[in-house]
Amino acid sequence: MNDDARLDAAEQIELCYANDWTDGLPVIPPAPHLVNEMLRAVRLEPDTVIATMASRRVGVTAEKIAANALMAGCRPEYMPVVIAAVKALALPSFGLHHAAAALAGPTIMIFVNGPIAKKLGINDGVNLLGPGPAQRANATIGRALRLILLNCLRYIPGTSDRATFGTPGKYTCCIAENEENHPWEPWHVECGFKPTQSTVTLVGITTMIQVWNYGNHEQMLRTIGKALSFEGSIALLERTPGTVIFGGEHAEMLRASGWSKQRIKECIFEHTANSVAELKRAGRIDGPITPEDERTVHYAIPKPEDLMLVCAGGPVGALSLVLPGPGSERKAGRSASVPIEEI
Amino acid sequence: MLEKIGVPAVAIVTDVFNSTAREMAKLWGVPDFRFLMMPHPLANMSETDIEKQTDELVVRVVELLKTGQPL
Amino acid sequence: MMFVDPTMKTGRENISYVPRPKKLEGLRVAIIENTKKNAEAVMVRLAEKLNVAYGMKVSLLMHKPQRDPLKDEELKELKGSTDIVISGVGD
Repeated sequence: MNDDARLDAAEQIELCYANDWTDGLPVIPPAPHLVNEMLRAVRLEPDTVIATMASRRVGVTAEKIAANALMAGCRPEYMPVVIAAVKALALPSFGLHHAAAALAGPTIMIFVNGPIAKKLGINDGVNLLGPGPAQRANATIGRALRLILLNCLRYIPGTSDRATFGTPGKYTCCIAENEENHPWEPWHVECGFKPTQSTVTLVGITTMIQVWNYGNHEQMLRTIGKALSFEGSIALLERTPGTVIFGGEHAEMLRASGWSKQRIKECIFEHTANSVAELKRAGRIDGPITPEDERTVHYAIPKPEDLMLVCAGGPVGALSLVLPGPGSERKAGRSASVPIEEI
Repeated sequence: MLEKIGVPAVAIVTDVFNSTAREMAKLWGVPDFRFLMMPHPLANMSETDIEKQTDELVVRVVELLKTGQPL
Repeated sequence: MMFVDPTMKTGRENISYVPRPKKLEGLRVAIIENTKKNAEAVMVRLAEKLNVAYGMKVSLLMHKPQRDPLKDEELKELKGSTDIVISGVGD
């Protein structure tokens, strides 16, 4: 490569910065022939409206999705996943505006289920959420969604995105569920999809809590319940749905217990209890503390069935990941699962 | 949306969200929409604060209803 | 080099603002409170003071989180039942 070509590429990247098209990291400049290659992968016309976001008065087109996915570093074959994720953003069950604009600055986590995960190399195991050379699919699919939020939906930090801190997960957050040798059924099957149908589910999460526990399964689930219901959790009072990712050792522990997924949900639910008195002492609920408050229990989620339990992460380490929801009202924060249409 | 269906509307935001509200107005294609601001934060306002702030808001709501939106 | 613009913009709406009410006395007021802490308290107290000062009557109190725009059925309910809407508090 001669000096002129290197300079040209650098100038193109700088131009994208100058146009405010980035997330702070360099992007692949959206050259028309590369954007068209992304569109050809899903056989869509550029002006096809994929999803309309009522809160932003915008219908996001295939061309804009392709341009942002390219900029993020996606390969063309990732496009069906990105498109399904954009459709999920528009679902009322997700509550886009709160997930994207709230002071809590939630991460929007993309869960991918079904055969497409293996096909595209979306990581479901070791270093699930971390960077690495084998993480291209995870890193770029998640990043594409954020670039679409910035560039198409205009959730710009400081104006529409008022996150106090934000989270590193806002750069990118995409995982696959580990469906091989699963103790029960994976998330999309629990939702009624066939195992062979690939899906995307979006979940707004305010924080990620790693729970370490080498006790028995009931003790482990107790600590998970406590993590879901910590006193400062923004999801606590509105009871938005929570999510738990069981790492390999915990999943095996639960398999060995013989407990069903439902029984596990019920156990976690019981351990999300805080007394009203404690919540008043913590300033989460107003008013004087009465004797009745010591006996009145507030659960962090409305009912056990609201929990999303998945299995992913490395096979070693007595660890699971607890993901409280984004606050707001409990009906929002987790999208319905959207089928991925493969060409 | 309310103006489009024939209902005059007054919107109130806290002052730290001035830029956010202005951006929303631009997003909805009415960049000069006049809205009212009150001090932030709302969540820990006492009853005394609420009394004081609503006394001021009454005056400004009425003023905005009389002034209207820019043509 | 020409790039595909990855951004989207909304166009300016050609909106004709509704004429303001000529008199305030006795107007029907709908309150939309966004369920944030103290929003209802502020909005209801404001409405009470408008009632005392101008005889404005609260025709509807709507509790609506600030996630999405008003739905068609909500707009219909408002159109038929009120003269002005006051919404708050964005925070």
